[in-house]
Amino acid sequence: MELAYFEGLSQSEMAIKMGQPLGTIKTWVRTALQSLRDELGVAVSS
Amino acid sequence: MTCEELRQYYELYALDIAEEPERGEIRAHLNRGCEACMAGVKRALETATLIGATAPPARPSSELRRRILASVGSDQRSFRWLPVWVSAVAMAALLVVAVYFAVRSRGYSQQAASRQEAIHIQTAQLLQLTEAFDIMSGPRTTEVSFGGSKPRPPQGKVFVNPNRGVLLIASNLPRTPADKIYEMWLIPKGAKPVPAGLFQSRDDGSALHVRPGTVDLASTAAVAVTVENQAGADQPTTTPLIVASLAATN
Repeated sequence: MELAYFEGLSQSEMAIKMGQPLGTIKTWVRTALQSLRDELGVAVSS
Repeated sequence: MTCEELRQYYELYALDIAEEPERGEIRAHLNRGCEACMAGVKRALETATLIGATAPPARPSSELRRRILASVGSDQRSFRWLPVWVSAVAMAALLVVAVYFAVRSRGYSQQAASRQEAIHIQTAQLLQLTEAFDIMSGPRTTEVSFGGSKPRPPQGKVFVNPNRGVLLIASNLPRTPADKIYEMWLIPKGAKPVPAGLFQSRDDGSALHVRPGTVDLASTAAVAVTVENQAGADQPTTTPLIVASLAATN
């Protein structure tokens, strides 16, 4: 999430930087965003 | 793709890291006014905003500050400190000005003190002259001369007024040593001399001395002057230079 949000890398760039397949990066990002949405959802809805 | 399929990509789209074909699909849904996708992307943008708040505070570097100022066209030179030598010269100039005014102020203070002392002396002299005039002009004042028969003796007059005091006016007084002073005495008949004040002669040997207050003229035999130590004496310790007898007036 730091690479995506604070450094502005695309998922393909993250895959290259982290040495992981693009599909794995997409899964990690989606999972992380899902967790953040669940954690921050209360604050957003309020 | 359906809205349900795109739901998991809203955050990626909000962070602008969604890849194709999901990004194009979400954009197409938004362009045609898909309420589900619009609401989902709106929530995702709010979530993305909150992510920014989770970052620890950071202190921007001076390089970032320079770039930001440069981007708005600010002249960096105006923000730099003055050269050290300019500050040193300014400080030296301030120091010189401060010393100048301090010295000048001290000079004024000394002048003021000197003038104040002169005023005190003149006030005392004026008071003495007023007292002398009161004695001389009094209706019951007795006048006695002294020293007339000696070659270069102290000469002068003594004025005695029973209500106003004794006035001594003398000339030809020798200069006293530095640690000595003249002392006037009232000498009663058959009793010890009574101190009547200390005085110094002027540079020309003249002197004017007043002992204000009442005087019992009938019981006073003479007025005398001796040389004594600076603090004065309770009784004369030297032979009188001046003796003005009041016997003829009683």
